[in-house]
Amino acid sequence: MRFLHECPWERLEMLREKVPNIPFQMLLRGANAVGYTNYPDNVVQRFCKQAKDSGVDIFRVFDSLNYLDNLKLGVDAAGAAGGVVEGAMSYTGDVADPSKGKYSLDYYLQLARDLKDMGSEYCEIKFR
Amino acid sequence: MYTAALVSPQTENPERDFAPDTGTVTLYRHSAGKGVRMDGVGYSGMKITPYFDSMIVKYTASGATFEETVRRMKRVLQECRIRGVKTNIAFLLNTLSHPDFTNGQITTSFIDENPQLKQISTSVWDFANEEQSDVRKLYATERIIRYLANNAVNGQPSELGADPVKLATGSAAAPLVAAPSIAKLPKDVRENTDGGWRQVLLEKGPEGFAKAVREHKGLLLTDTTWRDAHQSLLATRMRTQDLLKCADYTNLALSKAFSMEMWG
Repeated sequence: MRFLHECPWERLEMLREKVPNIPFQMLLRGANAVGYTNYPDNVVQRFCKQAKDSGVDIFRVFDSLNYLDNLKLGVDAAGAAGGVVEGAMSYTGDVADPSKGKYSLDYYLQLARDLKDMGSEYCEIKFR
Repeated sequence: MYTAALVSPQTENPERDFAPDTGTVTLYRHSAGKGVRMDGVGYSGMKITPYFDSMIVKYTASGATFEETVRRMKRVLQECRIRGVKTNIAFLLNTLSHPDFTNGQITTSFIDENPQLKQISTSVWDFANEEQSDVRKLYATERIIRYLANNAVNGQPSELGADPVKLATGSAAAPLVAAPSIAKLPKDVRENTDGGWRQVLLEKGPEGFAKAVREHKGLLLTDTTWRDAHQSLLATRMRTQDLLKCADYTNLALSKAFSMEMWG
């Protein structure tokens, strides 16, 4: 872990032991995992597996552009790891404003359906 | 046209004809930004000895015009924090603020002709920030922090009339400082809950968990305190041992919460 020189997995495991009753949740940036660049698929998959084993229960998966392929990688990786998959939509628009063009209510409804079909247990709207 | 200027903050005292000053640099922090370059050798905790050059850093500012460059350099000098040793920074600001300098009408005798530039203990500048416009106010924060640190280590100064014993034990009729209350935990906090939503997840798996959530009538909450604590606000500087100290309390206080976002 940056600055602290602690092991992030051990930290998670120790906290998990102390907090047995509340699901732990993390944010996963699809193909970017927890970074700001895209990682190889197997890195994301192994990362999710390790995170789940160390104590994360719920994976909130999002992509800043709502790009389905990037979302799918995160949803699949979190699901395969045995986590609860919360597909998240990045919402910056205004569905009440017809001048927003592509980003209409239908767009977000379709995105929610896509996330459900991908395997997300439920959907979240992430306001940004 | 493009212009640039270079200044060298040095550990020296302009009021003593730039005699080098020695000691420990307690704070070494710089400004940055467009058109600003910093080249330095210092660090917080650096010992300044009389055996080497007293120059610890150089700032270079550049801009499209001389005025822009000077303005930029003034900002750099105003925003930098080099503490613990005397520096010529106030002198540099005095120079950059002098009308003859900003008009570009100076000679090599400029400093000798303007000895008031060296009067750094009473310098005043025309900055938007009032606290930074008067050299006598500049060190207010440091003074307060030192005062508090001294109190924390050595107790309240008795010469101010405080009785440290009374403050410490709270035996005075009305304590001056109320001790923060710390919640008492039952002996085994885990007995006080039904296992929470995590128990549901462990028993029913992700699908059953999601179903139970959908069937739940009330509003469910996600707490993000830990995420903010160790990811954002303190920028990964909160240690595990500090999180662990509050973990039992957190588990109790949030035992009905849907989740804690604490990672990622």
